Amino acid sequence: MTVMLTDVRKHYGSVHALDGVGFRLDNGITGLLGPNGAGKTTLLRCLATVLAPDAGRIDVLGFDPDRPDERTEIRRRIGYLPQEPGFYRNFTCFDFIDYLAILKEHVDRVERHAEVRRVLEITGLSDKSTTKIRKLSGGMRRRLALAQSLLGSPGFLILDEPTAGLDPELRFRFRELVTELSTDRVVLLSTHQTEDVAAICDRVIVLDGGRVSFDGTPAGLAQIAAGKVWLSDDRPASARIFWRTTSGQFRAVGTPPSGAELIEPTIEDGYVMLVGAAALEEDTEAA
Amino acid sequence: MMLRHPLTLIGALGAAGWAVYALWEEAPVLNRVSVTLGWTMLPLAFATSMVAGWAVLRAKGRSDANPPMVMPIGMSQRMGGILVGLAYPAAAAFVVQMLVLGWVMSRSPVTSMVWTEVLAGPVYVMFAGAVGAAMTRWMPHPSTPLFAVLVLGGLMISFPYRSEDWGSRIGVEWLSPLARPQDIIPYELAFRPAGLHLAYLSALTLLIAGLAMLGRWPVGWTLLGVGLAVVVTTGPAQLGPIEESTRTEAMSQLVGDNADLKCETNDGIDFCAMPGYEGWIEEWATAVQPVVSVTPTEVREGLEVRQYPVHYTFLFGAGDLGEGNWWWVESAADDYFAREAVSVGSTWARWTITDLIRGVSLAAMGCRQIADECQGESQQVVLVWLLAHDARSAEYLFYDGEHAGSAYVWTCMVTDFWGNPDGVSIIRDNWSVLTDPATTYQEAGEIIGVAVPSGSDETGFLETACP
Repeated sequence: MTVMLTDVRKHYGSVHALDGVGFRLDNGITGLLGPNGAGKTTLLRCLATVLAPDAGRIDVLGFDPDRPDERTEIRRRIGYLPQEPGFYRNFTCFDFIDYLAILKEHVDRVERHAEVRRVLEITGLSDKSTTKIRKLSGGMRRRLALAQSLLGSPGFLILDEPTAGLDPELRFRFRELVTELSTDRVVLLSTHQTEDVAAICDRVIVLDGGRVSFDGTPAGLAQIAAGKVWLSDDRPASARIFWRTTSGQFRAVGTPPSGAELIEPTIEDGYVMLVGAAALEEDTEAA
Repeated sequence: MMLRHPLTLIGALGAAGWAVYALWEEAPVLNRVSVTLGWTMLPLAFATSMVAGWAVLRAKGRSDANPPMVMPIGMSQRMGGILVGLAYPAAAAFVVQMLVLGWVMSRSPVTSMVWTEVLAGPVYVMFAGAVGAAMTRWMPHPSTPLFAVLVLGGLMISFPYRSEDWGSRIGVEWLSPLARPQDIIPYELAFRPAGLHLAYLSALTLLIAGLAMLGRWPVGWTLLGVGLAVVVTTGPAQLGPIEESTRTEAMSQLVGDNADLKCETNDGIDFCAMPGYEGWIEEWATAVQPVVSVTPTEVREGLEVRQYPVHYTFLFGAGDLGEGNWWWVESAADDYFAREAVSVGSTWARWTITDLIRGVSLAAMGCRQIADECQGESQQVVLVWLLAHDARSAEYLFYDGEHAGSAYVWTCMVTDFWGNPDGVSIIRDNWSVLTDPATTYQEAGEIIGVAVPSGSDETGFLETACP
């Protein structure tokens, strides 16, 4: 199963949300990182067939979303967890998933209900199936949104901030779940949680200013900051970003002074270096 | 989903409750019941309108990133599903109607059902649902479903409640999606174009469904075109005036020498019912039996109870009605005065059956029902004694045991006389004297063996208990 994007462009007025994005996704989990306004959600909406790009070509599991009949085929095969899904507050969890299962062409009532129970079980909501959505906590609603995206075991799972609002235990359960799912399907995980990317993604794509600024492994992203992360006893003047650790030292990312105590970079460090560098370049160009 | 919504259930219960309330008191006339069963489905229709609107809001989603927007079943199919799903509340309306009808059928109904009137109820439920769906599709806002109900109510109110000339359909009330029942016009003479109206309402429903589906979907245009074609055809066709000859012919079957009445003799009294109302003859005979049975046989022989297509209270006022609109009342009144028959209306209820009992009592005493001729003192005592044999009348006459003026005298005399085991034979043996207008309280009291009470307030304002 593959998803291909070729020179995809989308603009809102003068703002280029996507500016020539292209990559290929295969089975496995791909993390999508990027600062706010980088175009992540626009990209996910294009892939989910909600938005049509202005230019470029998208191929989802062998289907072209520009063609209405193929768009329907794509919709049969994807699971989409939007950033802010609209809930029907007076529905019970079961009814909400059941309603979406109907819209996903699960016609047979017995089979559909079995599928609804399955996704509720996976997301740990079995005991809440008769609870109205308005009575659920934020984390539970997030799990419910995740449950609907799993209906029908989709071949392409698009997850926009799936772990936002989840407690640590559920985040671990989510990682376990998505890892299991990714063996035979494409999973695109958009998130600000770099720990999640580091923990479960085979590959990470960083989107910035509507363009792909990095496409590689999480380790590769971390290596961008190799030799640029150090510990300092004093406030580091040359650091792009720094913070005080529990040991009282400052952990700094940037251009280290000579003789600095360099440490192993994380994916977060690489991300900061990457996105921060792009921002600096933009400042320089503007000047 | 439509049926499972609590508001639909509330609407169905409201419809059932309203229908039972509307039919509670009156002895059921099925052609009137048919109209009532259609009209009283309004609560369910309004509920369906709101539920359909909410379903459309849900199907549209609240943003373009909603999960429903990426489902293979698209908006056109969802809208189609919602519109087809309106069949469920419509079926629920029909079930409610049949349950109420089952209850009605256990209460000696007469005439026959007009199914086109009945079916207008379920079809209107679908129409209201389509209006809710269409409005919410084009104005997707949480308040739109409520607004749709206001529009439906506005449609009802904006069309005239009745046309100016009740005898000829010249008003535009038939352009209302659900034609109001006519309270006064006898249904035999109402000439309701129910079949045409059902076709019109069905077409209106298709038209609105077409508006809901309009856009890039060809089915929307098809529904709109078909619906519009039928609406413009059947709409004006309902409004044609009734020929005078048609009305006269219909009336001649109900009153006059050539009336097609069904008559039966019971306890010496001829009971004549309008076509289709024969089932009530036994009801009338049973109702008057307690009173008739205590009168001398010879005075009730030849009495006629005749049904007219109007309540007797309208016969009372017929002379003041003037010309024109109330032609059927005048016609019925002419016939009544020509025959001096005891009249019974085209409808009756618990409180109006006592009018028949009073009319038969007066007729047995040689007085006319509407002229208040039995004003003699002894006549009043006999009349009250007769009416006291009917539990419903007695309940009214003796309800609190305190009376004033002449009512004090006759009710106290009857109360005193009531325990006499030979009361019936005393009245029968002295019938001609007691029903003579000149016989006084004192003379009547001597005959029936009771004293004339004194001490009552002569002005009739101070109520006093019998001694």
